[in-house]
Amino acid sequence: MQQTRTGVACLLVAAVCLGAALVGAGATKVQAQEDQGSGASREYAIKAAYLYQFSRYVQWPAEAIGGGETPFVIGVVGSDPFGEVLDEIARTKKVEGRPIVVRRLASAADYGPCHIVFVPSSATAAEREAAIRKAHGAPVLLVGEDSGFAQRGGTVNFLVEDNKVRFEINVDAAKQQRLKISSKLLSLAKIVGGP
Amino acid sequence: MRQVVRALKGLSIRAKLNALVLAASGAALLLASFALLLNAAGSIRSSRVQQLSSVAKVLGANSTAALTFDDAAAARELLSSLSLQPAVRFACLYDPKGRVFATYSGKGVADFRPPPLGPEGHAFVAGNCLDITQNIFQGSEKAGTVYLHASMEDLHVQLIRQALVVAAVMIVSLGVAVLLSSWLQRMISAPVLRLAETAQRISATGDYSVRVQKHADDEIGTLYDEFNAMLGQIEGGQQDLRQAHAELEMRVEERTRQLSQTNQELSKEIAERQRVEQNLEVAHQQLLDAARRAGMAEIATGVLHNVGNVLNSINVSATLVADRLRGSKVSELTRALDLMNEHAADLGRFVTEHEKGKQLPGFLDLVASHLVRERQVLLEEVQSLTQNVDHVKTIVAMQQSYASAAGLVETVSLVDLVDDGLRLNLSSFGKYDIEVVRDYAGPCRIQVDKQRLLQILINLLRNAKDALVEGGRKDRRLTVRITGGSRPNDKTIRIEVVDNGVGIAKENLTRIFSHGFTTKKDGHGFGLHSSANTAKEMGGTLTAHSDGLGQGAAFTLELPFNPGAART
Repeated sequence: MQQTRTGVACLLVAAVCLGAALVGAGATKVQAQEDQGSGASREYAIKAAYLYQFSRYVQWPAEAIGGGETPFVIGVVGSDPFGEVLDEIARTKKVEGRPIVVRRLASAADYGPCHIVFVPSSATAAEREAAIRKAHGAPVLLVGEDSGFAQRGGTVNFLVEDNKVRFEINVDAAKQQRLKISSKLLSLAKIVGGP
Repeated sequence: MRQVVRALKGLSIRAKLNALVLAASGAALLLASFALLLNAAGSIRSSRVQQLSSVAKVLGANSTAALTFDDAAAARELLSSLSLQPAVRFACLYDPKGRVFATYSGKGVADFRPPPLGPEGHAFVAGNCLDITQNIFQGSEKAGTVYLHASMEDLHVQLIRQALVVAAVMIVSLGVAVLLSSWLQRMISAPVLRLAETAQRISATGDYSVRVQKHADDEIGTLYDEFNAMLGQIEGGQQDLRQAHAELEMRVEERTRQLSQTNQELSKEIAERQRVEQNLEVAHQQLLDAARRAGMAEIATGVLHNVGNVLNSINVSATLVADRLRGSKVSELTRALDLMNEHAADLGRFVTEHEKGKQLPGFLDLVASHLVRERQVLLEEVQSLTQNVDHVKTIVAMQQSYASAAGLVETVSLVDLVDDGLRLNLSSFGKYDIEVVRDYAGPCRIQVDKQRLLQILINLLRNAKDALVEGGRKDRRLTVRITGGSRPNDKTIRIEVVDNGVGIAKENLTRIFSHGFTTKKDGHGFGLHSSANTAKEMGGTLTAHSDGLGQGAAFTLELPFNPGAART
């Protein structure tokens, strides 16, 4: 009986996988949901949530944030590691009443008025440098996930410690970008300076 | 409570007033203090709740980032700031899903196990502790929950401190109240005490002319006025009382005099009465003597009557003997002897040849036989005479021993005794041609006083004879019947004397046994009376029955049957 049930479950999973492969377009979504529990996907789900949560603890200059219904823009440079997760957040959440828009940027040079820009580890070193350069002095929270990213000029950099997602904050960079970061957030972060 | 009231009653008015003020102000202060403390306790508690709630809120607000970014270490650090709140024994942070995120334990709290997440709010729990559950929001999103568990032990210390302060205030207030009252109560107690003192002086000296000085126009002033007025009344009343007393004494004296006079009269009367009683005693004695003498007379009458009865029989017998002797054939014999003496010489020839001589032997023979018969009759009569004389002797002897004891009781044959009685009256029965029927149930022997029974029988038989003679019938019949006594278990014997003579009138039936009652011309009304008495003395009864005049009569003598077993 037990074996029969396991067999049925396997059959079902196989059928779903087959169905997903056939549908094609929906494959990524299904894949992302399927992998929610696995290390990599869980990490990016958390990181996506954190990206959104940063908006609560960071104050942008008034001219950068705009007035009324101006959307809050999150940009992702290069290939997007979040899949649907970030879009889901953008669809369901708001930042101080503003809708969230996610823009995929082909290169760092592309992004215009973004509030948060995420540079995934899949981006090249050149792209990273370009992003840092672009963000320097601009009111944008530049978030990366490579060691030394913050020290080189990124505002926030994700780390993984003890299987937990932690982050560094470069307070000098934040100051140059005229971003006020809440002490609550700072108390949770590793504070770095430079360059 | 009652004892307290009783104890209070014995106090002076000053002490009472003090106690009054003390009790009233003490009660009021106590009540106020109690209310104050109650309020203080309530406010201490609610302020503790407010304080801890705000702590929880601040803590929650500070913890949002730690919760959001899943930083338990940061959260623990935040919670450790609770060490500034020593009342908080332990605390806990829950994530939005209700899972324990970080915990905190106060000093000395070793084993803390976070409870499952409860509803928001505060609750007083066992062990004098306070639980506070505070939800944390970030914007409109729930970021988690703070839970605080605080001890309220220190509140007691606060409360006790408050209580001490209140108690101190109360004692001081009471002291002030007592001081004030002891000063103020003089306004009331002093005049009352003065009044009491005056009253005491008056009752000690008896001087009602004293008056109290009035000092105020309140109720006590009125009391003074009334007291003075009362004193005036008493003063006046005393005068009247003295007068009345004197009058009363006079009256009492008079009354005493009257009473002693009456007493004297009474004792005189009592003496008189005693004298009369003595006289009565003497009269009573005399009456008793007279009665005794009357009794003796009655007895004497009885004796004379009985003797008279017997004397009748003796007289009859004597007359009979005299008649017989007078008509005796002895003279005939004398004549024959004279004839024989005349012919003495030729007696043989005279007897064989002479006409008269031939008849002589026959004549002598006739005389002889006649004399023999006569002697027989005379002998019988003389025997009867002797018996009667014996009877008289007995009567006399009985009379002599009357007072001493009952007559001689001996065992006799009842039939013989009754026959004796009949025999004693036989001559008179023969004279009046009376048929005697003897109806005896059987021979029996009884123990009885023979003479007294015989006397009763003779009386009854004589009465029957008299009744028969008076009745004037041709077939006079007298029946003597004895019943009972033939069987050993009989209780009584009955002797009935029945005649068909003149009878007794109905109205006389009850009277015939009375002393002095008689229907006979020459009777003295004693026979039946003494017979009935004698029967009673012998333990029996004598009763009479008659259907009326001309119907005859029956007298029944009933005696206890005593067969005298030892003799038979």
